[in-house]
Amino acid sequence: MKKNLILTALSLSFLTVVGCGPKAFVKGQYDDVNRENLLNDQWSETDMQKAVADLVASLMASPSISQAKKMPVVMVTGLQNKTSEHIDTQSIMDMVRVELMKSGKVGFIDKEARQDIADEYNYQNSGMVAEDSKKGPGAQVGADFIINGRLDSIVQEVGKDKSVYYKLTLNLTNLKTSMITWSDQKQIRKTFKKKTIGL
Amino acid sequence: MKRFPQRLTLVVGLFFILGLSGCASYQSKVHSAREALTRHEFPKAVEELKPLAEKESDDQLVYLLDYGVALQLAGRLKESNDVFLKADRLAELVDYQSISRIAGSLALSEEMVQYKGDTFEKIFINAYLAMNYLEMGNLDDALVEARRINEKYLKYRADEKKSFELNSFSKYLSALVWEASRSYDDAYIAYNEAYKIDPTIATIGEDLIRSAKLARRTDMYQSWKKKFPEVKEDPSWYDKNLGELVVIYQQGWGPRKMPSQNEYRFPMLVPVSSETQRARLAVNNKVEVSREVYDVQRAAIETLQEDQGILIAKRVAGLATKAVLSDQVRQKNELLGSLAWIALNVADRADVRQWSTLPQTIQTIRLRLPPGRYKFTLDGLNAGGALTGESLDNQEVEIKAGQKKFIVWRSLK
Repeated sequence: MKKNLILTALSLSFLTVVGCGPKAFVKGQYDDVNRENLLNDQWSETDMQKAVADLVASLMASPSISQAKKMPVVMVTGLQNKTSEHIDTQSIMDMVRVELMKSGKVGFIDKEARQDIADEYNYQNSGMVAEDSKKGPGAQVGADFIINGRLDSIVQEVGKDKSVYYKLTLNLTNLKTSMITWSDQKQIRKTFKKKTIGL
Repeated sequence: MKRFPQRLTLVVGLFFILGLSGCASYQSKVHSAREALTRHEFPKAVEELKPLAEKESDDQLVYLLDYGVALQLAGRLKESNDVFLKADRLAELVDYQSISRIAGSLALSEEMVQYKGDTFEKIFINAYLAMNYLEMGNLDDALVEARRINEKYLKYRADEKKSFELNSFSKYLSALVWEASRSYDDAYIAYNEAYKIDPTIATIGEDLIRSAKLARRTDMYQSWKKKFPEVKEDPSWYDKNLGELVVIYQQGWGPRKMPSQNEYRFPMLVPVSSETQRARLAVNNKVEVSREVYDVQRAAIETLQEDQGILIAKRVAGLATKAVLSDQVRQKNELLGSLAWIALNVADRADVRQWSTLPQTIQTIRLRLPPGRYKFTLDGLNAGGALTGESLDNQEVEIKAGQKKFIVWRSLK
């Protein structure tokens, strides 16, 4: 019996000491980026992949793109974040642009690079660059369309149940007429059970 | 030789007691950092709180909260928000009943249970995030926090939390954010909900009248005008050519949890006296004094009073558990049984964990100004209206038409 007591006391002491130790991630492995990620109740890369894939497929099938006589030139503008999460909406629009470019049927204007391009024109026209290779203002292509959109969410939580609903809406607007020529949305709903009791 | 196992047991038992009773309490661990904050030695406080906040432990949440405040005071707003975002996630992860920890708390002390934060503290996390975003001029992210505050508010209301737990300031702040984004209907709804939680908010009458009119809720506008006849409508509220300077002023220190003088196993709240009671804004030959919108001290006291019944029941159950455990040991070994009884009672102490860097009250100053650059000063005033020496001098701000500029200031003495 004394042996048991000693063992119990030793175990408790050990737990007291090691319980305060650091808990670091020490072993990792590469994972498939297309595998579903439902680790937590937040916007995930799986949500982004699913929403963008469906919307890009819809956009590619729209007459504005599929029946265009010449390659439409598009500019991606902002995606409004109307959710209760800090979501990198730039990353979503980057994925939209990349997926559209992969089709080879759409050309893109880089709005973000405008200042860099203007600086480079100034440099190339400063006399430092050979005449036959320098570029200058006046030859850029104007965009035919802009893509913008909005990400909304509705979160409901009662007791241990939580539901998260996302709606990603994208619009393609004709710059000449200012008419929205295509618009579609992707809805995602995820439900979670919260741990209320644990060890 | 036969006595060796008995001695070893005694030694191990003593080691175990020392391991449990020798732990410093939360209050003693953060005392030095709080003192540094009071002396405006912000880098020192940040340095002291950082290792506590970064270490994974059952108390990590409470240290993250204090660390986030220290970073805010140090002007490191982005880092402060990184910490508060981590705290917000952690508060969700630790929000469950741990069987092993509850059992441990019965045998030992309430501090064995992981720190989950009081309801009003958990909503405060998002209010701090929103304040930092507003001060950084990032209205979009402040709006995200306003929505998050609303989600928590709806959840806690569904859970039938009491009014004082729902944190009227967070609702009030989310109304300010909606108003800044010109979402006047959302602003009106949030002001109205803040009023339902706490009708004593000093500015709420004018907030409700103004936001109802801006939201074009004519019936409600008339109704609020009748309810608050003392409020004089100012035409500048509706002048789109003016901007607005909004000061969110955090005054003093909230009350501290200490072991009760009557029963050391229970916590009590001790108010922290502050000389600076109000803030005075001086800008463009105009002077405005702050008005209270939230009493943190009252929320903390009411929360503890609400928890008192549960705490008493748990400590009574704890005493019974200790008696049974030590009696079981005593039946096998008299000495170790007595030792266990002493050890378990020595280890039992009041749970004094709390978000102790919160202010005593939160106040606001709102001033409409024509567009332009302005120099302004914020001075601390005592209860008699005299200057206390705490101030934010010679600050410059740019006011734009139709926009709000937010300044967050804290007095610490």
